[in-house]
Amino acid sequence: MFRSEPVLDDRTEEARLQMAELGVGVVGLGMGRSLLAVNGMPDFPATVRGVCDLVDDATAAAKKEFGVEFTTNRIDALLDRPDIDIVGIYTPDHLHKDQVIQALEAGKHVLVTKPMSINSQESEEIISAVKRTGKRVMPAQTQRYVQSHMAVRRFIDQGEFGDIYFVAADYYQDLRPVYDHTPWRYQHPQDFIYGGLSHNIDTMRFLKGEIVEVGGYGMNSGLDPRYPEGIFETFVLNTRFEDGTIGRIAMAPAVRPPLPNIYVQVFGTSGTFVPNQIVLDSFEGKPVIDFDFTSENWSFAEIRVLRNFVDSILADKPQALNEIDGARITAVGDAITASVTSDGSPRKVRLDF
Amino acid sequence: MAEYRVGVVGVGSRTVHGPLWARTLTAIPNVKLVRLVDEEPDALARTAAEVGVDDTSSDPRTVLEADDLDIVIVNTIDQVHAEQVDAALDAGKHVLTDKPLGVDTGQAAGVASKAKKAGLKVAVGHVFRFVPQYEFVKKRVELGELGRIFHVEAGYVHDMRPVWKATPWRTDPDDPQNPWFGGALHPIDLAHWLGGEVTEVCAVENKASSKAEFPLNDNAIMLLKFASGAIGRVWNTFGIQQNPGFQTFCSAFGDRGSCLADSRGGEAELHIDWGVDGVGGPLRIPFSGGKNPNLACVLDLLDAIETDRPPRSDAAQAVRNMAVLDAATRSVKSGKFEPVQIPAI
Amino acid sequence: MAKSIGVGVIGIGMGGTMLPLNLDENSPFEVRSLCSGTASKVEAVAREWDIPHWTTNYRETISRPDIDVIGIYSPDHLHIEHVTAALDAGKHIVCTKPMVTSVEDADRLVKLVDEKGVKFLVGQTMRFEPEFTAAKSQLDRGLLGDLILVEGHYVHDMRHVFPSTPWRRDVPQDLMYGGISHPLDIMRWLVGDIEEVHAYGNRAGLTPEVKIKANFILNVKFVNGVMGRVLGMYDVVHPPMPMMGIGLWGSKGTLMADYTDLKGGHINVVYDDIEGQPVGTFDFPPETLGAYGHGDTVLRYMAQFADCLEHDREPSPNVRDGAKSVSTCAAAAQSIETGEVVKVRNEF
Repeated sequence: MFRSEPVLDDRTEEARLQMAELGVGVVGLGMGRSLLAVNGMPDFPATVRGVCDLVDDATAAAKKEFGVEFTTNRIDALLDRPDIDIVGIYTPDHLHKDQVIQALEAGKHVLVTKPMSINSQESEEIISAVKRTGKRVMPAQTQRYVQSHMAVRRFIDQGEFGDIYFVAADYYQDLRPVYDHTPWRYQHPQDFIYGGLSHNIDTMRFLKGEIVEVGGYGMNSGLDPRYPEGIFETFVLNTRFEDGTIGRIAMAPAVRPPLPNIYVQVFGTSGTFVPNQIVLDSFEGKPVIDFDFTSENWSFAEIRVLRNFVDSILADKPQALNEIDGARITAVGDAITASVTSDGSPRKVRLDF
Repeated sequence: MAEYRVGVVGVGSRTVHGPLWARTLTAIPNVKLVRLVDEEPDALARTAAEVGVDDTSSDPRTVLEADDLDIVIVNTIDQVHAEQVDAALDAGKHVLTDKPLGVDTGQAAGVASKAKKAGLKVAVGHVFRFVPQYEFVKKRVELGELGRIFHVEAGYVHDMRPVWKATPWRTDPDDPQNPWFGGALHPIDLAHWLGGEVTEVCAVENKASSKAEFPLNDNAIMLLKFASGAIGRVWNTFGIQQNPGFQTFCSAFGDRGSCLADSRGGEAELHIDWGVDGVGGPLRIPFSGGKNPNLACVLDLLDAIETDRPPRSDAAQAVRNMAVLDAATRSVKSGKFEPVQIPAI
Repeated sequence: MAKSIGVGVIGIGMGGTMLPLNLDENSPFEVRSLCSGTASKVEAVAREWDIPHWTTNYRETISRPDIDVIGIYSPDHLHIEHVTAALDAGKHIVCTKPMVTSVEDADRLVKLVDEKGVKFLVGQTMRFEPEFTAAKSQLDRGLLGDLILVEGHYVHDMRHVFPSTPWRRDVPQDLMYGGISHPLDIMRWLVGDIEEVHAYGNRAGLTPEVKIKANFILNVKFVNGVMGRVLGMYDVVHPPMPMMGIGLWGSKGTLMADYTDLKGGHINVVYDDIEGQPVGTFDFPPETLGAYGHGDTVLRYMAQFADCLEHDREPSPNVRDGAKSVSTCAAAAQSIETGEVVKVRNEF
């Protein structure tokens, strides 16, 4: 169900639908820059027709290098464009909610980079807006579209792992260089429980199922003095899934460890995945298989997210993630916050939205 | 951050590095490469096109005596280094010069004195001090992790035959390149860096190449005595047939550990008793390139100017390096340890 | 060196790793009595190693006057009985991990050791593996800066060892003590006492006859404020990762050390002050002596024990370290039952 009300320019949209091509507007050319590459892909069923950023050099480059027709510093100018069907929100976390709702009310579908919201109150407002406008929201949880995770998911779906009884997702990244080129993270301090752990949380949801309980410890490592003391970026968390099985999450923004950036492990009764290898119990000889993907540019995962969104809209089918998923991910963040700011005991996660 | 206007003298094929320094400068945001000079018009035009600089000349004075430049890079044949650095200093500019600073210690000392009096920085292109695995060795020494350093090794091992063919000025029988200037100054500089002041040198040399290939001896070993009580070895060889995998090496040995590094594979090895009775190890750190020592050398000069400190390898150090070479030359004749005599600066 | 200190060994599986002491000229220890459950097996080993006395009754070994040290390598749940008897007989003790399997038993041992004034070493092999000794050396030298996060793991598909040690399946072995004690002890050695723990546990059901939990995840907070976590997985398809490992996240460097039975180990370390943050590596060759390849490690800790006996020094880990590991495991087990964060008793 993707429209319940008349949209601004009926004919144009239908014509676009017939051509199976949608128009995309990107707000925020830091992370959002990844999507511009689709303009150079002839078979991609969407084109970035407009970009919005506060930095003129960025919008000018988008026009020059990727042929984006419309550039602006103001989001409402982008939302006014009838040739844009999907708006990608790639702005700092605390701006997402208002911009998502604004875009929905302008009649656009919304792709929003993680986290969709930074508390459950925001989630509820977005969910209401979706109901009200009948437009779609997709949280851009890129880890689902990382090659190794897509492949593990296939093995799981084929039953190769048996029953999965333990899943872990760790996030290790030296954040200091990230703060260097995205100072908003410490100027308007990004809360990593929502902005960072959403990666871990959704990957675990993708590979196993809903997280219903979570608890543990958090702290500020003190590694970078720009980052305010009250906000944590180091976590050890235990989780429980809907079916009772267990998992864990860690995040450490320290000196880059000799480990992958996002480190996911899956333990099942017939197989175990610990990067970069899989052991498949069901194969005679229990081989250990190297599961090594050539590292690809981050943009590809972002583009796959968009592709799923576009294809789903065109086929009138649900996209991989919606506002309820976004709300649940944030709800896990709420439970984490409650636990790490008090005694570390586990908290139940709200699932009903 | 201050902006620096730079001119380069020598971008052609007279030196092995040719356009290397010019290229390096274009990677630095607060450096403006203003002017290029070379005697060879084709080489000059090529380099100028590559780095996007229109202002070119065949006359070194347009850079050395210019008053619209802050820094000069001297990248010409050894014989003219001293006079060109002098000219740049006279015109109030900081300098980065390829080694050697002069054709003899006296010349070098003169330049160093002038720089000191003028309060200008002269960096000598001992870029091996900026190779990351050698920086690692130096840092272990500095941090005291190796304990008391008792032995230092450094070497420059280079099959020069292709270079001799490409730059025949080096093999001119009437004025051949001093092989010790071409090569040995590097490991001597590294040995100083790790071991400190050198007090005595004993050197022996012989020849691998033919007279036709190169007129002089091309293989030398120098034994060093340091003021600290440490001893060391420098090996400088050009006539070796085929490079044996590495071109330079630089290692420090202390009473609590050793750190070895060479230019093959960019790895350093740290041997310390980690409480495991010699089981396992050593700790190997791979330095996978990506760090450009020439760039680091220029950045070091900029920082030295900004913070008013000596560049990592400066003119005074160059004089000490050459004094060691002098002692080595005397030792080759006398067959004995010769004291290192450093002229006053 | 004269073989001046007699040793009696209870349990000749892991305990067999003590036998090479007899061949080591630098060791004062000599194994003079062996005890194990199956007469034919213990007799065969005694003959092979020329041990003058063997028995299936541990009291015989313990009461011999030519024996000063008892090495206890029996199944976990029997440690308390064997150790208590040996302490009553006034012997020095080397007891393999886990020291015991309850806090009450740990209390008894601490009091008894204090009373008897003998030396007590817990055979925590991880502390004597060169990978972890080297890691501690780097930490102690300040190369990693201040610790932020510490983790430890020990994973082992126990189905592989059921055939040779069926008690693990039949009793069954409680791996919260038998397994988790390894990484917990190492973390305590590196960081300090643990203040509180939260844990989850489960089973995968790969061995249906065993009902107790065998997969554990623990979050811990140390007394000094550092955060940590432990992974212990024993009801698993053996995962493609090293068997044991620790991770030390520090303000100046991050170090991971790992070890796998019979396969050797590695250290991978990143130092913040090296541009490009390359990963330094340190490889350790496989050690294959003795049960599970732990022979060399046992010889190392016996060398420490010899030094402690000769110079009246405190072994490391000692009975209180053992007790604190046990109490941390007990707190974790309680957390699994109650779902709450549980404080760890560190006073013994």
